[in-house]
Order: sequence, then C-alpha cells, then structure tokens
Amino acid sequence: MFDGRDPIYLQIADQIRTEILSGALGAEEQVMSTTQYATTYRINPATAARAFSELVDEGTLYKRRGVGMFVAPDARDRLLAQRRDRFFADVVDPVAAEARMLGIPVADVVARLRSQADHPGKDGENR
Amino acid sequence: MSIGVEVRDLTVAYGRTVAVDHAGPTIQPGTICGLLGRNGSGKTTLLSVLAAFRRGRSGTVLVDGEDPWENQRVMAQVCLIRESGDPASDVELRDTVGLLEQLRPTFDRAFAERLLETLELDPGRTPAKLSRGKKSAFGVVVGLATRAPLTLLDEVHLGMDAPSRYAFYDTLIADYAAHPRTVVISSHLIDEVQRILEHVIILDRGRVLLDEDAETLRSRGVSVTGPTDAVDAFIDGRRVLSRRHLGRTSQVTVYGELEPAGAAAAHTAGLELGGVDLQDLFVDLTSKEAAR
Amino acid sequence: MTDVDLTAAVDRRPAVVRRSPVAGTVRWLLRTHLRVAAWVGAVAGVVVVVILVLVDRFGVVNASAVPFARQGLLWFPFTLSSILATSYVNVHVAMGLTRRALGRATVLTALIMSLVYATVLIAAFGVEGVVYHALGWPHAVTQGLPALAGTTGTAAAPMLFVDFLLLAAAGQLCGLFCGIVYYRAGGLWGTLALPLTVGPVVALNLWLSTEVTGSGTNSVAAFVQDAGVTERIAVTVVVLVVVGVAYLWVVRVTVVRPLTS
Repeated sequence: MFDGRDPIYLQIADQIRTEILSGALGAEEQVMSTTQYATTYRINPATAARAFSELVDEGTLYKRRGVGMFVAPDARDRLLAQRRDRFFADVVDPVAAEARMLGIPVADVVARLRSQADHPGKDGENR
Repeated sequence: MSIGVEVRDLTVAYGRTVAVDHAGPTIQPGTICGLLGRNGSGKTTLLSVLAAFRRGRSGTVLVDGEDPWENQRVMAQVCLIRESGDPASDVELRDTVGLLEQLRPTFDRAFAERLLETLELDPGRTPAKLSRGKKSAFGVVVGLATRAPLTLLDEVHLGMDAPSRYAFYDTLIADYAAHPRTVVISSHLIDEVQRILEHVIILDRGRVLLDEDAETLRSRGVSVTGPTDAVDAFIDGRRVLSRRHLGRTSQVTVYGELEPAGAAAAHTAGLELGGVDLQDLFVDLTSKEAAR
Repeated sequence: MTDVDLTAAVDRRPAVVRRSPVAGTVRWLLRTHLRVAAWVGAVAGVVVVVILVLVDRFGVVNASAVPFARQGLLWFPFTLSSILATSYVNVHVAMGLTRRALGRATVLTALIMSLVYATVLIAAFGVEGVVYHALGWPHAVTQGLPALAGTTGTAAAPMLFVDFLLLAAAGQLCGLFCGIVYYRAGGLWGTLALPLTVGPVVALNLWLSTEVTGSGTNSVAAFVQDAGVTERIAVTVVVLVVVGVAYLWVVRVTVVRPLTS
C-alpha cells in the first residue's frame, strides 16, 4: 500500500475516487474519518487530512459540521467525466506506443479489445 | 496543545568527543517528526538537551521560545522517553503511574491503565523484574499517557515484539489525532514508522544532514532502472546515492527534484522510474560513500 | 443492581490530585524513606532486645541502649540519602521537574525525617525507661552531648532529642552531598572527592559523639571534650548549612547521565 512515487495523500485521494467510480462508495455515503483512515492505514493523520481536504476542494466530498464527510451527490458523474477525458491520453496512448515497440499490429490490439468487450475479464491466450 | 523547537548552532560534547556539532534543526509545533541517524549520530544527545537532561556547550536551544534548562514552565511540557524511560526501577508500575499523575499536569491515568492492559503489563511488577521488551512497553505507556505538548520518543521500541510495536503505532496515531501535540520519534525501524512521519530530520556525525518535509523527501529520491548506457546519460549532473549493476542493466538511486521534462526524457529513453523507500534513502544518504 | 450503583462505582475513582513539584516530591521521598526506615527500625529493635536479654543474663545492664543507636542514626540515613540522591535524579528530571525542585524537596525531606528519627528514638527511650524501671536497671545515658553527662531517664530526654536531631540531619545532608557528587562527577572524581564529601560527617560524628563520662586521652580529644554544648550545636548547624548549600549547588548543575546498556 502507498509505495508509488506519488505523494501518499494523492494516492489516498485516488483510492477514494476509484471507490466512488466503482460504486463501492455511493452518493451521500459517509466516508471514514481522518483518524479512522490514519489508524487503519497507519499513516500520519495530517496526510490523511490533506487527501480529504483535496477531495473536498474539488467537490468530490463535502463536510457536514460535527458529523463527518460524505460523498457529493454528483461526485461519480464528475469523476467519470474527468476520467473519460483522460482515458485516451493516460491509457490508450501508452498501449499504442507499447504495441508499436513490440511490433503488434493495430488490428490485433483492436481484436483483443473487441473480445474483451464481448467476454469481460477473460484471458484470451496464455501470456 | 503543542509546542515547537528551534535550535541554532548547537554543540554538545562529552569531554573531547563532540556528539552534536553546530546543529540547528527546527521542529514545527503539532507535527510528528522523525529523528533519524546512525548509531552515535547525536540523536539521543540532541533530545537530552531539548528535555533539559543536559546542556549544550554552545548554541541556542529554544523550546516553546525559551531555554529549557532548569525552566519549570518548559520542562513541564516536555517528556523524553529514553529507550524504556526513567522509572524508579524498584517501584511497582502502578505506583509510578500514581506519581506521574500527581506531578505531570497533563498525565491521563485512565489512559495509562488502558495502555498497561493493551501492552500486557502487570501493574504490580517493578521495572527491575521486567524483560527488555516489557520495560520498553512501559516507556511507551509513560510517553503516551503523559500527553506532553512536546513528546520525545527515543528508540522506545527496543526489544518490543511486532504486535506490541503495532499497538504502539496505532495508539500513537489515534491519540495524536485526538490530542494534537508535537512528537519526535527516533527509530531504527524506519520502514515501520515512515508513513507516520510528517517531517524528517537526519543527523550524521552530529550535524543535520537533512531537515525536510517527509513527502518532499520521498519525492526527491528516485530509482532509475534501465540499460546502463541510458542510465548513465540520465544521471549525468544528478546526485547519485547508490548504484547497482545487473549485467547490462543498471539501477541507480538519485536524489533531487525530478522535473517533468526529466521524467519524460527518462521515459523516452526506456528507463523505468520508481519511488525510493525512506529506509533505502536513509541508508544511501548516510553511507560512507555518499559522504564523499 | 440499579443505575445508582453503577454511577457510584464510576465515582469511586479518586479525583485527580496534582501536586506542586516540591510537595509531590517530598511526599514521594518521605514514603520511600519511611518504608525502608520502618523495616530497618523493626530489625534493630529486635536486635536491641536480644542484646539486653543476653547482657542481663551474663552481666549487669547499667545504661540505656538507645544512645548506642547513634552510630546507626548517623550512617543509616547517610547511606539511604546518598543512594536516593543518585538513583532519583533521572526519575525526577524525566518527569519534567527542575533540579532546583529536587534540591529543595530532598533537603526538606531530610529535615522532616530527622524530626521523625529523633521523635521515634526519644519515644523508644521513654519506653525503655519504663522497662528499665520495672526491672530495676539504672537508666543512664553514657553517649552524646556533654550536657548529658550523669543524666538519667526523663531528665536526659530534651538534650538527647537535640543530639538525635543533629545526628540524623548530619547523616542525611552529608549523604545527599556525597551521593550527588558521585553522580555528578563519576566514580573517579567522586572517590577523589571523598575527603571533602565524607569528611564533614566523620568530623561531626566525633564532635557530637564524645563519651560523656570519660575524659580525653590526647590533645584533640581533650579539645573536643572541652567544647560546651552551645558551641557544639552551633558549629554543627553551621557545618550542615554549608554542606546543604554545597549540595543544592551541585544538584542544580547535575546532568542526567546517559543510559548505560
């Protein structure tokens, strides 16, 4: 957990965004408190607080005074829109570059994407 | 309640041995700060001066704005636990807890008793009859339950087994969140404490080698892996901490801010960039080769 | 069981008592001193009774045994105080208390304990008088300040009390001084300083312990013998004040020693 090159607070924020996108955290659902988060993952409470304040600033979470933090009603839609915008640059372009380096024809890549779309999660061949 | 520390040009010597050599670290109030350094780097001596256990030969030490030496207002706010602490060795733990309650304005007895239970310490025992690990555990009890605005924990984990250590970390985080204070942890188990730290000070032979925000420090250490030629080209002009060769592949740890252009260039050159553990960074920064 | 009982159970926890650095420390030190002193006193009492019985069996009991406890009254508090001075410094400073508070608390404890020792011994002397009277033994005082010469029983009590008080105070203040010098200066310098630290207590022992019925056999003893009670008390008090001030000064510059492990 938290061993990438990015600062820990960014990794925490990303993790919560992913939970919202996957539906694990629903709209208006309460998220863990800073303290709970810090003790669960054994991180500095200030680091956890920084992640939460970033999510509040961007409108993904909102605070209810004295109660805690909750997922904003439109959080998932906004995150989806953002991720879609970034999808081609962040995900597809590196695949295209890697395929070019390895000499994999674009048609094969497209075929693989088609088969995955038809049978999600199935590993087409041994790797 | 938390208080800060400002040290300027502090030198402490034992006879001819200089333990702290013109050091000037600063500790921000309300943070958990890691004080790291190899054996004999001056960590314990520095902490001893902050807690008024001893005095420096020269320099300025300000704890909450004042010199702590023989200063009742400041000393009452500082708690230094050296390894297993300094309890009377032939006094039952419960009596020491009772004494602390009377003499430490912020001591929470109920919390201390809960901690004794969590760490499986018998209040009827005396420290003289405890194992190394249990002695240390009692140091932790005193250090946490005192709730001193400046809490200095010097190698308190020595001899404690892993479950006790994790109980200590968890309690520290929860209690720190509920009762914010300034905490300085000196530890050799950097791996275990690194995510708890907000700030890191590294001492090396009595001098401050590094005084940095923990996130910044982590982001400055970059491991570069790839073909030796490409790696060599990339590290030109950067501060190299360590280097490993695996056939024609090299892995190098560099220290310094990595600008986006540099990261992009590395990527194009087929180099893999990775994070560096604080532990590895510490070892590389304080090794003899790095000092040259 | 009702809710009222549960509340009562919660309230039973004593309220938090915070004490001032000196008051809390004095209280703690007194407790430690009294515990050890009670044990040693009980053992000493048994020993005295056994000796008296034996002496009565094979000879004649003709003097009070209590003044013979004088050497113990000097050296036992000396030892206890010097041990406490060396073993409590780090405990005290680690609790965030100043050395100044430690100095004041230890001196205050020494004075209070001197009163305790003197009072307990005078009480023992009184009890002993009753027993001696019943057994027909003469209750004579053969040791101590010159004014005690030839006194017996209750007539000796007031001067004997002063004698005990000064001895116990001398033992403790010199013990504190000796202990703190050892702690501050370390083994080598502490040992080299012994004439300075133990000297006063040895001198005061001679100064106060003159055999009240005997006469001097050499010039020093004769000089000591010739000093009057007021002079003896005054000189003792002055020496103790000097030792006490020296102790307070050394405590204030004492460094907590590094852990040795």
